[in-house]
Amino acid sequence: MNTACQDGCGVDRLDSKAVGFKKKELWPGGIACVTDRNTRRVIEVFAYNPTRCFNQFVYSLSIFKRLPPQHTRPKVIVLLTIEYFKKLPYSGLSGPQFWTHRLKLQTRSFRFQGPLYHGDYEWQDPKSEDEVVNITYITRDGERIPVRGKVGDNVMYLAHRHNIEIEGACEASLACSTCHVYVKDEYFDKLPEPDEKEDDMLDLAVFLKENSRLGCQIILTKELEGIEVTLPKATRNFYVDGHVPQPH
Amino acid sequence: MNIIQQLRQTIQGPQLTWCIARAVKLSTKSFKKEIDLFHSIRYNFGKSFSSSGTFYSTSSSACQHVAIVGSGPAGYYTAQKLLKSHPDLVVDIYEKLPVPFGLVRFGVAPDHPEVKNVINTFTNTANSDRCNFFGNVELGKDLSLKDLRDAYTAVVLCYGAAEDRVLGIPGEDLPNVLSARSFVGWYNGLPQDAQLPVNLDCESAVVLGHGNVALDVARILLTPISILEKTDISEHALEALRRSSVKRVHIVGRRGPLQVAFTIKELREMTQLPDTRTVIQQTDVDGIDKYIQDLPRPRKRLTDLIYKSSVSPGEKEVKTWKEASREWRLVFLRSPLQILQDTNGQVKGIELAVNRLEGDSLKNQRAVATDEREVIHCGLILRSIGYRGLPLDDDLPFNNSRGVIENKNSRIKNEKGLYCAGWIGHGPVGVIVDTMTDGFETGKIILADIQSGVLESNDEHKRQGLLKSLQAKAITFSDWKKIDRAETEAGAKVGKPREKISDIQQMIQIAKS
Repeated sequence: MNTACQDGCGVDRLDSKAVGFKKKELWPGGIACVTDRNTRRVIEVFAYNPTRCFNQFVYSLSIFKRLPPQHTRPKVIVLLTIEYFKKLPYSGLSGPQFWTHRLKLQTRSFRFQGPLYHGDYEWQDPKSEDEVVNITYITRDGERIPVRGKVGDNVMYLAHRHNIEIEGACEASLACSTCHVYVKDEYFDKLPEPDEKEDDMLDLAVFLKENSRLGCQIILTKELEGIEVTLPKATRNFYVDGHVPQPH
Repeated sequence: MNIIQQLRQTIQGPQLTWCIARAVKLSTKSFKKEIDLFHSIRYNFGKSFSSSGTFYSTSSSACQHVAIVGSGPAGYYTAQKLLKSHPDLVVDIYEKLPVPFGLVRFGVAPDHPEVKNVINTFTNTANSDRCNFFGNVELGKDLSLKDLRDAYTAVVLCYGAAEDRVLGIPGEDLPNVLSARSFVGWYNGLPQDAQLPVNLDCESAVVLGHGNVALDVARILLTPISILEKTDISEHALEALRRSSVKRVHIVGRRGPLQVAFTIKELREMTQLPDTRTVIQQTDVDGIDKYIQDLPRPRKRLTDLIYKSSVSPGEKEVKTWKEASREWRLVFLRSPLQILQDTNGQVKGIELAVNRLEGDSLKNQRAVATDEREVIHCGLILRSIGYRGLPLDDDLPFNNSRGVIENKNSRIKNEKGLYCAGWIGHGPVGVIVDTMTDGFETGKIILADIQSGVLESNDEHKRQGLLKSLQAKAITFSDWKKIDRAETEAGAKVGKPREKISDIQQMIQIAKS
């Protein structure tokens, strides 16, 4: 069964058995196909929906959340129209370290091996002014750090690049709240609603507020130009019922 | 695009020149190494050149060394803070087991691999030139606390909560009455628990306690094997679970739905377990809906989920629950009185007292036993009522009732240069973010004490002497990488991310090969 994108990431999941991914009309934007290196069988097929943000597609691919863990050496083949292929970051398909990726476009193909990490996309400078999204991080000491981000950047990984102290223990897989930030109200309302999983994690955040979000779930868009995120005060917190500040 | 172009895009200034000089020396064959290098450069440059705003003396005579005891999250996060915010401080991490990462490896459930991603952060810290790992070194056996304190500027105790609380009721020592802690160690390949006698040849099990560990063990008992066999669960546990006949798990707590200690993610997972029904009696949640609106957000959402799961579960849940062959029950207001045995000395059930709650504030309501009794028949009992820390040394100020070292803001009372972080300092509660904050705060406090001159720099000769005496025994971080590789390779053969080695001798053998 084909499953349309549900979480706004722009990735539709195609069933490799029932409906052949060879049908090109099903993936007008492009397709990423994950195969098992040993058995050469197709494990998962992701199609890109061109009405969605392309960078989010790349980003979603990099997580491969839906990949069954028994395939430790999958091969990823990405087929994209030339227009999108140009946009594909060199190392945008970053996955767990031991995976090998293979990028392919019709007759042109190249291959690279080695560990790649999440967040590589954020390490690329904006290619044009059109891409630039300015963001200001306000540190725990109240210092304002302006950063020139770009469309598609993940607020947590972007902070890592600029040495801003946001952790990311679970690497954007919604299993911790170490990248908790406060988003300035006017921008908070522009963000897509948090996923239930994000809300569940926010419940464990230190000093939760109305405008709390997880940094790893904020992807910069043009609409967010000028966004301000504030890091919460680092204070010990061991209460399920929300933080009770202790006098020192 | 080659590596140099890639570097040029990401690093500027004098760092770039240096990186390129390094990168051009490497042949294209060693692309993997290049990328490795690239990332380590990126990481190390990024961190050590950060403008922390504090300046430390960098003369070599004032070089500071800090020893950390325990390599779990508290240890590694404290190390991370120290290394990041000080330009030349050196951290040595001591660990009893040959392998690092403490509860991230041995506590986090195998079906939560995403939580274990934090290992990458810790590995980054460990890869620093200024961070050393010495595994297979036990404090109190291979070296004493005094040895460490003499050789280091500061010693941070991060050895966690080593023991679990007991019920103190008749029948607790029967076979198949286990601590959830050991059960977790058993399925996570902890060497000391690998031989735990677990008998899953019963239909019904009881888990005592309403915390996340209770939900973890219940979930492992109920999760279909097809899911578990793709995780890094230990093989002996998987084998036992394959033959398991456990169909029903009761999770029993003393107090009510408003006082549970587990968190919402874990509860939600339980309600969505495949082929498993969630049973929460409506009578137990009657009336709590009127409190929900006024609760603080985390408690509100959690209580709401308990209430809805009982009264009005979603369509998807109803469908799964209807067809499910297994079930778990959330049981409130019951205190265990005694464990019942059959004529063969095997567990056959548990007698519980029915409680009522007393007290005004919802959070602090106490459970008071009534005269009413109830028996749940079961063949397995897992006790999950909390952990407690143990004192390392008789001389250390220790709070026996809480099971923590007496400390104020991580500084151990009246002991200059001695600190604690993580569960041994504040008690065994909280998730990774709490331990992270605690580790960072501890690091900050140590740095402040160095800065203010409270701590003097240490005797480097003594430290070198100590390290030399441990050299033959200690497992370094690169030794651990060999074990890591062996485990992932063994795992790949059976379709698991990793096949944990649970024999210490075997670990050492691989590490030293």
